[in-house]
Amino acid sequence: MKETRYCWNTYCPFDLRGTAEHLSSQAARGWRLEKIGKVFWKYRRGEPAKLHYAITCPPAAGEDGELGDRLFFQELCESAGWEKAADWEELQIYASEQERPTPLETDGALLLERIHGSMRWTWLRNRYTTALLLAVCFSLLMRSMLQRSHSYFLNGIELLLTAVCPLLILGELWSIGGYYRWRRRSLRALEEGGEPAPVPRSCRVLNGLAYLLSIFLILTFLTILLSPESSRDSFSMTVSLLMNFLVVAAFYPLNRWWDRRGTPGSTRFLACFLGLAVLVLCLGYYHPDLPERRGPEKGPSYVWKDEIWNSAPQPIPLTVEDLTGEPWDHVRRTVRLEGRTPFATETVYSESAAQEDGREAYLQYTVLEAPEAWVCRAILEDLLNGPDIWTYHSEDPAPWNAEAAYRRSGNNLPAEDWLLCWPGRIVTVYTQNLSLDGTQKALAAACLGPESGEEVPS
Amino acid sequence: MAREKFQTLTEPMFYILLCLREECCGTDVMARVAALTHDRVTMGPGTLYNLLDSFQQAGMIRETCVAGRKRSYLITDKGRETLAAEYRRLLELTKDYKACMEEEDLR
Repeated sequence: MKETRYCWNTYCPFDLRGTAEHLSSQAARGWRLEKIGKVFWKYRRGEPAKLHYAITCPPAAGEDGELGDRLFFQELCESAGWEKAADWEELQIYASEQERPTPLETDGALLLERIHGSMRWTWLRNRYTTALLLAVCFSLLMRSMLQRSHSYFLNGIELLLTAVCPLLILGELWSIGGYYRWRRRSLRALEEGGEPAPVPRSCRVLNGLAYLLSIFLILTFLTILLSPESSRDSFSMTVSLLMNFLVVAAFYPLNRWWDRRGTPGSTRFLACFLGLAVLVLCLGYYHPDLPERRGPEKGPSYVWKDEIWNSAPQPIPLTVEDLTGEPWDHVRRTVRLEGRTPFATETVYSESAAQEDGREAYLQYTVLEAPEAWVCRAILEDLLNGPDIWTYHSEDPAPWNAEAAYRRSGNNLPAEDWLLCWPGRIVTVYTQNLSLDGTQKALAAACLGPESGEEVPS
Repeated sequence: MAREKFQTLTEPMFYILLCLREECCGTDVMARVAALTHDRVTMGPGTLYNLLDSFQQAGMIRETCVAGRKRSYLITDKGRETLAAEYRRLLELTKDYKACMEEEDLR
């Protein structure tokens, strides 16, 4: 027979009555509270008993972790027949086996003030901080969408966070609103001689939804991350997030220590802020430049002039041979899916070719598909406003049979580098040791344009 | 406008101060109040702790002894004044009530 069991807790910390009734009903069924975790509460099997539970806000620990006030408080509770059952964040849970124990709290107004005092510095502060951080995160994502549209629309994790952030902010604001609504109703009830109002069930439902959303978020996050279609940005962003999470996690033991010392919230906030500022100044925003996740395609290969070449190169839409009209002795090709999201898909193709007589050529092109016109426009604008060392100049799109064509220049010297636009499709073509003439441009357009029927491989 | 703290005393406040005319530890206060009021006024330990803390901060009681987890308190002069003021207030209420009732009886 199972001796322990874990229950998912969805009670709000200010739902003192609801939580106490829940624990009493568990005890009546033979399950006694043993330990409280962040999400799950542990119960141990025992004899079914009529136990009364009460949750209260104990006094804060004094300076240097002095527990005198808490011990005195506990002494008073024990003298009234209440035994401490567990600590729950800033709260304490007491149990009594007496038939009709004296309630732990007999002054509703006083209790409400203490709950508010406790909630203000813990639960509410966390809700406000989370909402604020989410708002900052959302604004950064919006900025990213406007200023780095190209990588943004290919980054599944950024898109996911953009979709989820407003939901989470609304959830946080709803929780805060729920607490204040409950407090207002309770104050009114006390003025009318009643007891603090029960916490509405919707608060528990919201808590449950928040947990489910977190699980969904983690799973989706992992799915995107592990998918071969995720962009390198998604992966490096995850590493950055993980680093930031570790930095935040490092504050946890520090916070516990502050709890023991009874350090005021303002001092903690200031210390955290300064600590983070110093960290950011010292380390900068860590955004790792990760190596390619997918290297050259595997397959039979050989070595010639200290370089690896493909024995049977994979087919790609446009090759150096197509452009030059002559077969090349040594060929090496790569196809890399840069990212695939519901908004955009980008694939990078490259080919290095060499002849026995020493001639070499290099061809690289990317095919980006963005069916939504506004997304396509935003990405194009981002690509055209690239780094200052490069500038794009518009040129006649007719040879490319494209809607628009741009040629890239560096230091006012035109490069063999073009950006071509069709509705829903942006293609970049870059060559080395290979100057494209009108016929070759038309051929490239036929192979890479929308009429080529070329679809990004999955 | 918010009422000044301890301008008037609630029943639990009144009885705590009354009990602390003699030095008394926190746990005994609950028993004494219950005995004094024949269980009419019950005081939870959470409420008692907060009231003792508030009274102490207001200088109406002082801590006299700490033995392990137990703490004893005694009312101060300020506390006695507050208690006396509350008594006078209650007398005024009673007097007014009597006057009104007698007037009604005469009619």
